[in-house]
Amino acid sequence: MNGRNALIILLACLPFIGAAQATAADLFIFFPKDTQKEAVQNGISRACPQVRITVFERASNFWRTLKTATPDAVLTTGLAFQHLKNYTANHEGILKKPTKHSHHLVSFTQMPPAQQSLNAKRIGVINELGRKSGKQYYKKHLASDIKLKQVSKPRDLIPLLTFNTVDFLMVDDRTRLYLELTSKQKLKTRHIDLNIPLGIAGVHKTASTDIQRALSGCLETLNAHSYNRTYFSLDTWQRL
Amino acid sequence: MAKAIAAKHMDDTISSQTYSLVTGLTLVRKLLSALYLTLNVTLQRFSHFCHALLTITFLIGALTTLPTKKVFAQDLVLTLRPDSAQFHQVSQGIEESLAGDIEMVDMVVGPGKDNRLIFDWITLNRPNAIILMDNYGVNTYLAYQRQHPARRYPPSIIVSTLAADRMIPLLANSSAILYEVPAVTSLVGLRKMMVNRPIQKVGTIYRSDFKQTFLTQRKFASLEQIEFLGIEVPNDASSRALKKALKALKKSETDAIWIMNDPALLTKSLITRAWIPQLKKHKQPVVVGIKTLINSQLALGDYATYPDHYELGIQVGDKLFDLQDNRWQLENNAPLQPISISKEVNIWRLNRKGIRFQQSLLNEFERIITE
Repeated sequence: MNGRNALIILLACLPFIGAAQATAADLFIFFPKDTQKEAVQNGISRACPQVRITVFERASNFWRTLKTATPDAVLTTGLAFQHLKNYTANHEGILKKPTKHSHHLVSFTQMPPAQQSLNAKRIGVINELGRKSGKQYYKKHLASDIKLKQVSKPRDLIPLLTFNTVDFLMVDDRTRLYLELTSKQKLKTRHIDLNIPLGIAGVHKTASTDIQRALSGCLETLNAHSYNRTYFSLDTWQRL
Repeated sequence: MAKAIAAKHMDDTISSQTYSLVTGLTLVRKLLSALYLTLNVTLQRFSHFCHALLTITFLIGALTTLPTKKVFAQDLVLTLRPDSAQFHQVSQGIEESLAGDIEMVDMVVGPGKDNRLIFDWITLNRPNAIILMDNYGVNTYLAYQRQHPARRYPPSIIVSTLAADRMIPLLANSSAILYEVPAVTSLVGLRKMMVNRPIQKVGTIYRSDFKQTFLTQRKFASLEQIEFLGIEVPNDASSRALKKALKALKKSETDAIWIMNDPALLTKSLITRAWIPQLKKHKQPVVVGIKTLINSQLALGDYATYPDHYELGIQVGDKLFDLQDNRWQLENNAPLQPISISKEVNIWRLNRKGIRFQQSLLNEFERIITE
């Protein structure tokens, strides 16, 4: 092959190289689960080769990275998504049999009181917003003088109750189901009026239609192959 | 005449020169005088300014030496730890948790380290709390307390140390987060993983000194409807005594065996002479608290759980904020259980024992041994 032919081939390929780069989307995933980060990253990357996946295990790493990085899309819990700026929700992660209320106060030993009577109680939650932001949020929405204990994984919630580190846990529907399936201790539950989706996937407000298409394609693949149960304890992602 | 004129000229010249000199000197004198006056006034005013500044500084200094000094200064904690990756992870977790709201100083202790420098630092800086990791951290601070017996001590938290609860009475004003994962936490995880193998009755062996530990484990296990059966051996248990206990355990037909993190029961001699030969006859899963004990070459444990070191640091950070809220007073020194764990499994050995497990849950493990 001579130089002239090589140049012709290179010029002919250029439009396609540009096209491939245009559809590759950066997707940040932060969805606290017992699953190891590497397993989630590898699994979803295989399912969605058109998307560059970065998975975060801890809220602190997720929020710290977002201070300097701007991914094209984010898939996270409903509560975390509410605190993102400049992202538009496209899909909601749901359970096929949704309950009326998305969030609950639970305990193994005592019936949780009404939301207005949580003063000075010790509440355990999964860390979704980071230490400071989480504290601000729950003190605003539950009671101003609660003591908050935040854990990284759902499996760490049961010891919080078993060893009396907290009085109650505040959990969403999927985590409540997890607790009921994992522990033989009987769960006492009271719903909380926090109408927050279980999971949200959304794109940056400047994202192109190609990026949106790439994200939608990825979520459809996850729906089709039942990855949602494995990676998010959800049943499906539905378009908003 | 000419001489007179020349002399007069000379005189005139001399007079003129003298006059110029005198005038010049006078001018210089006047300039210097003016400069002196100016400087004098400036210095006086500067002096007044300095006096005022010194007075203000003195007042501020006086205020800051009152008992409420720490209102103006950031709270400070010290960690004393050996130099290794796992302790560094704990420190990282603490630092992340504190997020600059409480200042943290991290010092390495151990063989070859000069404790005098650490002791001087503690005396000079008076940290609000001290975190002690491993026996080196505990012994270093114990030596400090012995050398300064009359002083009040800040609260200390013992972490990442085996038998931390037994060290609390050795130190004044101390507490601990235990390093041993409670049996119930490990067994709930094991139970979740098993297929058609309920974990309802679990056996363990303990030395007489650890009877209270066994009873505590039994109490927590019962909450999860797990019957916890223990066989006591003497404190100086021989391999013969341990073999006898393991044979008794086999007769009890338990669903799993939980091995306590007691170094005296896990000596090389006891492992090779008692544990390994006897456990070969057991078909139940064996749960341990040290990850090397599930290595295939050892043929001892199948499922290991241990504290997540980084999250342990986060838990220490939470405890420090609780102390800060309580004005650095330790309300009670009951040891805390570790909350977050890491887990590993040897599926090669589970398969050899014919133990079926949920494959889908393998992605929750930090390490999976397959051969």
